[in-house]
Amino acid sequence: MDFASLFSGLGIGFGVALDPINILFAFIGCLVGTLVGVLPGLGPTATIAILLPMTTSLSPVTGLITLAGIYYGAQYGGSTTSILLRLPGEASSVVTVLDGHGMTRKGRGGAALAIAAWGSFFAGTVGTLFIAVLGPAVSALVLKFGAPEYFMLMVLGLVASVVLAQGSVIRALAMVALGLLLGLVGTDPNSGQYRFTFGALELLNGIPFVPLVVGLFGIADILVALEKATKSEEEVRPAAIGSLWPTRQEARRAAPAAARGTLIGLILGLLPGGGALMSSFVAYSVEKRVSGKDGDFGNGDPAGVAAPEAANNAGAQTSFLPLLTLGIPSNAVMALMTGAMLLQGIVPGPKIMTNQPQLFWGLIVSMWIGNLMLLVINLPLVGVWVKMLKIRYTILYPIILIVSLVGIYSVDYSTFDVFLTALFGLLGYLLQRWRCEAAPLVLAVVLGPMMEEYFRRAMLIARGDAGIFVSRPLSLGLLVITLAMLASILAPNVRRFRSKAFQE
Amino acid sequence: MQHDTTYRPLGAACIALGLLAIWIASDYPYGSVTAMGPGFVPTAVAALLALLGALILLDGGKDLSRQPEGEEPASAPADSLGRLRAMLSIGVAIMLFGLAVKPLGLGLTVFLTVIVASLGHPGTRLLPTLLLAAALAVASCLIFVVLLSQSIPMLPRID
Repeated sequence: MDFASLFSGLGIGFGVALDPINILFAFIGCLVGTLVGVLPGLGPTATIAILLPMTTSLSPVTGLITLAGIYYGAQYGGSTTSILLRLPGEASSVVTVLDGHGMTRKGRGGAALAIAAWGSFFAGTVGTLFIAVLGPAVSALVLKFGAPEYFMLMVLGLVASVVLAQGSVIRALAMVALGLLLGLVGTDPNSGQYRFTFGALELLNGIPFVPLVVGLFGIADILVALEKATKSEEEVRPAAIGSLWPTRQEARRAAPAAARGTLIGLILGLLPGGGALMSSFVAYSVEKRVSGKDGDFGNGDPAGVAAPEAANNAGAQTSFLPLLTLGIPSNAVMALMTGAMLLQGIVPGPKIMTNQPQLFWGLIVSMWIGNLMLLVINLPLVGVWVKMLKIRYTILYPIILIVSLVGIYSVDYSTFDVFLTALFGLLGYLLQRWRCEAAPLVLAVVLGPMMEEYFRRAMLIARGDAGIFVSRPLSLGLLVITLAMLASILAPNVRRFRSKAFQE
Repeated sequence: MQHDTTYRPLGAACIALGLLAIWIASDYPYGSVTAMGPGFVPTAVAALLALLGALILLDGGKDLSRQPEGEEPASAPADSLGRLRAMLSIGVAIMLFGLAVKPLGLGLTVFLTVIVASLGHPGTRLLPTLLLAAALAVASCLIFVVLLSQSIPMLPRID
């Protein structure tokens, strides 16, 4: 790694990220992300999906910086509700509930929030540096990839996202197949043939991405929540927060845990499908093991807050690496980022770094700035976030619906897109009822067209001999890993781990 | 424990969709392995989907594992009236928005959409809903049209 280029890269990045407009939008992104993330039942994926359309009118760099801010904000919002109310906004903050709410019960909720924020900030800083150092090296390596390697890499990504994800593997595989099929809708780039367009001109460029994700995540969630709605809603009563300053003892307990959590998150965040969720779970169980009898887990041990929070933030950070260097999104949030890039006319991949250094480094540096903002803005605003929780669902869901609809409409001013949203909302609702995850589906929609392209190119090079995937060492290696992952589903240990990991 | 039967509609839907897609894709030139036509990959993927659908049915909700112990119970006894109410109000609200926004303008459309959508929740009360609808109508005009300068008409079109 040569440091001169690292520093010049970071220099470019700070130049972009410190531009007043970009700072302003990073700020707005973090703020709005937290605001929406705090709302019950809205995790980062839904938050980004709903707010995605509004960033399309911004310049590419600013738009992506805003989205990244929304992502961190939403994640932070999720931990706030876990700690104060036992309401994890999404799966990755489930473990935070155990000790975070434990601390709240002891009257140390404020300290738990501070520990989560500082731990996340530390992890975010390390994660940003990690990407800055590793990104260029990986990009250089990936430029040597040919079509077969790319194809295998995407297969690996999809399979890994299935194996590492929550719930039934076979259902997730079906979701991947459905997503691939949806991804093929539109004009075939090689022959100009229209496929699965049902005569709709609006579908010639493929299924519009924004209606797809808003329907699957935003509208479907509303339908599921409404189905369970009853006449009288329970009022949410957050517990007292207490001081925002951890005691010295708490800090001493949390600091090393945050460091270990960061390390775990950095590595697991790189895995497709895993990202934040796996990171926080593994970090928590490692912490339990390291502490042994010293720990007081489940009753408000600061280490049980610091480790998973640091881990999920580090994981969130490093999951950008496969996207920026390989052009392959590793989880649903990154699939949304890919969609946002494509809407802006940017093709993510190894060439971004050389062709658009402004974008690459600007985004990396703004990640760090985003983390800093969470710390500086959000912690003092905790009281405001708690008030948000008192909003009744009868008021909340019409707001979510309107923001989604106006956002979708403003992308293309298309009535068709609005109707499509209703359709995908229904699909998303059915999938939830049938215990299927929408995440692998969205991942496959994004990867589908690229996979077809690389597959066809590989077959062309090899003159139709599928042996090309085995005869090239890199591609063979990726194939072996993929098969091993598939086989591991059937191994009893892994199965036990999965069911344990996703029990809560 | 209630047995989870969601695999049945899911498996059937996967098979149906897969077969439908194969049938549609049969119109597209298949090509050869060396020079694939636009029909090759769609057919393969659709076949995979149908195959997985069949697997889901055969597997019978066990999800490839022998241990259904302590798995989450199937969703709570469904209140089909509540479900219908939610589906209808949200569905109609979205359609209404799509159809009305051009002729009626953003303000009025948002107002009406909020009211229709609010019918989906049994706890909705009249006055708060009207206030919310009015507030959102004004806010969405201000934010989207004035602030973000989207070219959506705010008021009804008078021809």
